[in-house]
Amino acid sequence: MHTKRVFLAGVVSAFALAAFPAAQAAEDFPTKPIRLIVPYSPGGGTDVTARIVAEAVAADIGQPVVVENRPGASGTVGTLLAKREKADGYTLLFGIQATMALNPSLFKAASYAPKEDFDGVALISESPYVITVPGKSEINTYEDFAAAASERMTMANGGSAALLAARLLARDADLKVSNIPYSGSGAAISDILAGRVNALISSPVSVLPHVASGALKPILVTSAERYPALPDAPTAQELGFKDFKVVGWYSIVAPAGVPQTRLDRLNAAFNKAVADPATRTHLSEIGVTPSSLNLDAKAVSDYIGREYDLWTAEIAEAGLEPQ
Amino acid sequence: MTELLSGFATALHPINLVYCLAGVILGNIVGVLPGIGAIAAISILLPLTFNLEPTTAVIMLAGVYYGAEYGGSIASILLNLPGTASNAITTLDGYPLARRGEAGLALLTAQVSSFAGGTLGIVAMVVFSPLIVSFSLSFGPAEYFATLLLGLVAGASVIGCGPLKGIAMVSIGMLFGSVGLDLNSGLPRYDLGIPNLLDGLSIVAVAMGLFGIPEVIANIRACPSGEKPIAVNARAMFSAFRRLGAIVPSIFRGAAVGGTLGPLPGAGPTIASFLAYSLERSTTRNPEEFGTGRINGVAAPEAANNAAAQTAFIPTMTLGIPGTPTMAIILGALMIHGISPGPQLVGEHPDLFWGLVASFWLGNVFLIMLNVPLIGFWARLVAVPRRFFFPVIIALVCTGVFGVSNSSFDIWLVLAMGGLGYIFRCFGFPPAPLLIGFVLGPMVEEYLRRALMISGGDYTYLVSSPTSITIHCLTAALLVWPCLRAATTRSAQPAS
Repeated sequence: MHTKRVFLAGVVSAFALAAFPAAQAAEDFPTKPIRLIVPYSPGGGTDVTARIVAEAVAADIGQPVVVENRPGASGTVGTLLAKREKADGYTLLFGIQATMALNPSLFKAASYAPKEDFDGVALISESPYVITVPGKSEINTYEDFAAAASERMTMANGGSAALLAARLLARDADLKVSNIPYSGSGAAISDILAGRVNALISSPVSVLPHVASGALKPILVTSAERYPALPDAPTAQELGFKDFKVVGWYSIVAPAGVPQTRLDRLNAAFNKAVADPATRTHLSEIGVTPSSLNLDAKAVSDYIGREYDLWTAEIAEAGLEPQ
Repeated sequence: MTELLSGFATALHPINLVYCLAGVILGNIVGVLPGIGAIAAISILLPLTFNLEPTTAVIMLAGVYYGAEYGGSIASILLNLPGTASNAITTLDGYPLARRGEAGLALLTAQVSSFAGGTLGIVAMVVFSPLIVSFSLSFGPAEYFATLLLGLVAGASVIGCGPLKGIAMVSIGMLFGSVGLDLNSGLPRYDLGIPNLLDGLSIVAVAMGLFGIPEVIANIRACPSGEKPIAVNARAMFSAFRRLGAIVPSIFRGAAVGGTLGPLPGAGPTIASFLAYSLERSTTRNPEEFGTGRINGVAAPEAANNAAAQTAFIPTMTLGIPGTPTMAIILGALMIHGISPGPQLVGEHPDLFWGLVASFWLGNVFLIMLNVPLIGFWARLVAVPRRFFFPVIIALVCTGVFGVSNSSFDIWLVLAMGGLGYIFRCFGFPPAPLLIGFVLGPMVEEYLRRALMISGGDYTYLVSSPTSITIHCLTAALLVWPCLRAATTRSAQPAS
């Protein structure tokens, strides 16, 4: 117990990584393969991300990390499955914004409480959204955009978090935006390039080639910091929207009640994997922006809790009842 | 041209070549065996391709698809049992030829016509795909809506079972398609409180249930035992080569019909082969000879279904609109590999697109090289007793759906769909329009609602461009044509 206490004292500080050898001395974990449940189909963005990260983590902890796809019901099937598993650190869940912050308020079938039923392990990615307009549009700055949107503007969006960002911005800035939903960025981009919609809110990765060619112009990004590949696009916060931040994220969670030492061991392994330059390049290539926050396990739980509260409030305000 | 050359470089990569060969051989086998078609084979193979490069995966799955068109004619000619639906018409003249002792000639005609039709279809794909891509930016929600509506109407009316049954099946398909989360509001529809239904019905389970299982049940009930297939060897085929001159015009006519119909949503190889056959009959001076064993009656439909099988890829790859259920599954395979099909595909993944086109032609070369010498082997495969391979097919179907979703729910779904499909079959309701409604229905809804959201609820937006007006006129013509024809044949009947 003594060594364990020493170790715990160590991880409270920001230098968790340095404390690792002590942890291994304290308990041999993991001693068998770790299951990582991905509640989506093989080959999708979540699955590919999980596999890239799992490979890097396996190399670090010396045990295989087996990705298990349990798709169904917008991620609910796999998430409920993980909730019922033993909280021993050997079963992890790929938890994303939709399953951890959205679905419980949308579907009765999603009968879990993200804050109570799961412990945060690590934050994998955090992708902002960017608003773009056609290159030949007269809109050049956010001021032009707001002026144009004071009457009526159509804005394409490629998913729920982008839609949330658009709606929060429209509310805060008093804009009249008709949000047009798309199930992927492909059709949305072809509609904005042809000028059928006035603006697009999407992940930066999907529009970067068109911004580079001048076909699209970025107006603002929804993250707290500027997006490295779009250095000229201001953030919403810079434009005066205090605390405005909407990002899409992926995380690793575990069924609630995993011993703290194991959570910390896993947290360090996943953070190390996400910090690894090769993994970062690999993730960027598939359009996922790896997290740079290096959050500890507790901070991940808090992050998920904040997101859950934000979305629950937004969904309640929109007047949607769980189905 | 340089793109096509680099496409050949991709297709000639040893791994792609091996998977292409594996795909066409497998396609040929499922084509030869009645009861299991390309759609079931592709569904079963889909989970196996998760670990492959997307290009390799699609090369193999596509090989199964057009390979089945080759193999299907063998069972049609030797056993009077079409291997796949699109070879059904080949039985009309192919089987009489075989009975007359000219099986070698009939088989060679089918193989050569398939190769020529496939090649012409590929040429059409090379020429027209880039044109359609450059045109696709003018394709907005209104134009997509018009095209998809055309597909639904074509799917309902062209199948050849009478428009009412077709419309009924398309409508049921659209209802099945609307199960799951609504894209715009995220609200679940028709989920019956079952969480597995939130993501909608699995296309693989619906397709295999409707096509594979009823076919097996029907074949068991038909008990085609005792009948010996006609023996044939490669020498009989080679000696028939010099008699092929007569079929050249038929091949071109068939390929033209097939190449034109292939890209139309809802049409596909089956309808192409039927229309090519009737065109062939109407161009000859003695149509009564058809059905008694004319090689032109084998050549035209076989050229047509292979040309259509190739050109069906044009809308799938350039617009992301699958014209046939099989194309919908190929589209699903692309999406599983993180590639979203649409106008940007050719530009963003040129190696995939041109590699696939090049592999088509290599696959066609493989098929004709294999099928002529190996004809004796395929003929023996036709004779494998059904009681051995039907249980295997059912087991593969269940494994296949489970492999895609990892969920036992889908096994029950495929069995339920199989029961439903068999009931439909007994009453003469064709499953193809249902599947077309299932695939295109949700897309029609998505584009209609998007068009109306963009226009702020203004319906005239749907007919605001020449493209959409033209397509809507085609749709109207397709609706009016069968009524007109029915009216004229009815008035002509008393006279005869």
